[in-house]
Amino acid sequence: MKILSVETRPCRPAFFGDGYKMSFVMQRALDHRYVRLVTEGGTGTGEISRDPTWAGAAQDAMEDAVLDALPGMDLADLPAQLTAWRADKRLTGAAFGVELAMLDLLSQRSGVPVSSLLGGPGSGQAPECLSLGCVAPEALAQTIRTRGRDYPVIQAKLAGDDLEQDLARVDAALAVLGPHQELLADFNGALTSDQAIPVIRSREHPQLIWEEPCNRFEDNVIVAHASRPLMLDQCLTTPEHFARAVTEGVASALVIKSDAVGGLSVGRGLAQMCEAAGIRYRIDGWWCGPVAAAGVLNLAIGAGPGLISVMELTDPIDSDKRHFQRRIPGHVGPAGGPGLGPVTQVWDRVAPVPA
Amino acid sequence: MRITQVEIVAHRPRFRGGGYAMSYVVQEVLAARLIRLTTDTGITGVGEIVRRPMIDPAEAEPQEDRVLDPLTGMDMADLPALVAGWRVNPLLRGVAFAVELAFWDATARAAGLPLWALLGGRKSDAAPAYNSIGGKTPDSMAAAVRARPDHPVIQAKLGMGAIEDDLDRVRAVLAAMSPDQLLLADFNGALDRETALRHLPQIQDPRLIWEDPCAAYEDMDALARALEAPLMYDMCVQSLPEAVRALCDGVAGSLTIKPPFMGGLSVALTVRDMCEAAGMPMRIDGPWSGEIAAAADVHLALGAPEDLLITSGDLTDPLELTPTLVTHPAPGMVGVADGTGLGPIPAGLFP
Repeated sequence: MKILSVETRPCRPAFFGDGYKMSFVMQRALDHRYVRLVTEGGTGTGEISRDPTWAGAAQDAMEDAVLDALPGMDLADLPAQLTAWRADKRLTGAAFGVELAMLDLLSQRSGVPVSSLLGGPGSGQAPECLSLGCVAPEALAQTIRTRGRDYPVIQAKLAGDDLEQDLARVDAALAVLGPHQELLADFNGALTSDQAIPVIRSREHPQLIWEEPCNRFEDNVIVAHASRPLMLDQCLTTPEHFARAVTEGVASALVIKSDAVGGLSVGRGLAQMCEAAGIRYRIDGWWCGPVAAAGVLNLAIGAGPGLISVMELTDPIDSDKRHFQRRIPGHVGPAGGPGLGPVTQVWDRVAPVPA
Repeated sequence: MRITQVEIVAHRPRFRGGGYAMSYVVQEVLAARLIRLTTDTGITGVGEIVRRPMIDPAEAEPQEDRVLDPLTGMDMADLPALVAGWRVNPLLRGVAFAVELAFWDATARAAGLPLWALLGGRKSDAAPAYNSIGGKTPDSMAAAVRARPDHPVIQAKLGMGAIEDDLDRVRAVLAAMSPDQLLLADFNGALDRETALRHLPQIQDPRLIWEDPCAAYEDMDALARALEAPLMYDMCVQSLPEAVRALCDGVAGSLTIKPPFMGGLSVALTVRDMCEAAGMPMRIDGPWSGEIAAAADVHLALGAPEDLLITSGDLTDPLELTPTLVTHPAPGMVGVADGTGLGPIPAGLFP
């Protein structure tokens, strides 16, 4: 089955309000792309979901260079091609998007949802994490009281520029957590190891998990050895990092961002590895449009008992919301298939970029 | 897409030459079962139930039937998650492998793709095959090596008598090999740690890999730390947690990946990709089996990096079979049939 064409359309919905603040970036709108794989045997839709610091024409051009080589290729040879792309970090988003389009196509032809091709059930719900941007301690606590009661996991973004204020955020959140909730205190890599060690040593709480204090994997290793195991996220950029995080005992939990590692198939393998190693994990990704978010939910519902939570990755974004269902409070799952389901109709509502 | 029919067929080909001897069993007849799932859209998928040779089919088959019976009427979409639950029972790993394989085969046929395309793609058109030689006299084993000089890897089955006799077999096989062949000297876990430590260092050869001298993982680790020769772990690494442990410990020289023993291609795929990420050499095969299971293992092997794949193999090799799903594109190499899924299913396998 030959690939006839590969088309892209912009995916640029805005974030609600003034945007979403993390320590390393302020996002006001996405700069992703929907991607459509047209083959002799049907069409599949995916989304190129990118690191928020990689956007713009230069990134588009880099992706276009590899996408343009796909027409004429046999679809069977595509997975090996994507493996080659994954060696370049700037192409992991494209690998994720094109693999997602292929999974959508294959599962449509088989009449099953993408979750089944990933080894999971045909439908289901996974525990959800509510992620809250960096706001004042009182506002954070108030949001948890009003919106967060049903969520098993709350993630509080910390800024890293005023550590006393960040600790006040953590204290405020812990004070209002229910007894079965967990708090992920996420620095998004904003600290040096010297800054992080005393901060993490200063708060020990059974419901508190410190997430990604430092940007580099090696710095987080230092912090973990000097304080306590950490949840590691963006510093895990390759499967080798995941293997080291497991073998070196520095991680209390891992975050699996399938778009950052180049595809749901890689994410599936990492989740299985965490289960086998007894390491807990969260499944999420970059904030993204509904197609990528649907893919992540399809992976999450097949996860085992080690899954801490999944993110509904369009949560802070003003986008199409037909890709998920919340049937159980604090849980979320995909809308259902075949393939990725009705969310792929979003393609038809987006105009292509003029040549 | 609903499953409308589940066919189960006994598959009992004989081993050539009266049987195949390993340290813990002599196999004369393969006791496998083939399954075919048919869906309401007319798509079919096939699998093969392969068990450890020491499992009594009379004990396993009733358990397998209990989980197979409810499949008719089920939505295909629910199969992968159902099968995942079976894997916790070692007696059901063979049927888990078979049903998951049937799901993948049906999916690949529906998509018009070969099975390997659903297993991460292929990195080569063919994989190096090994020539497995059952336990015999040193001279006959050497003759068996010379008879098939194109196989890049030889596996010598040992552990059926005195260790001194086994070492004579190893010396004879090494003497018959070319400089670029590798030898897997396979004890199938027959030695205790002390015997292995005392005797194995007597033979030093860069072409030699000791395979499973001991059965227990701890004994293998102790050996690997004490011996300078690389050790291939096989029987003690038969699940994803065991593979993760071996990769974490970092002592094994190489791992064997046997999808039927791990409960399915999806688990074996994860182990294969973990080995690649960790730079761990691997062998991908399985127990002796019919051509459906044998072909599935080769489909997985084609996606392994060539520099890390020590060998795969034609697992029908010692059986009185002429497979068409497994091919031999060049001497000493193994491949798969062209076509969708596992390839065109040979007439006569199913009624």
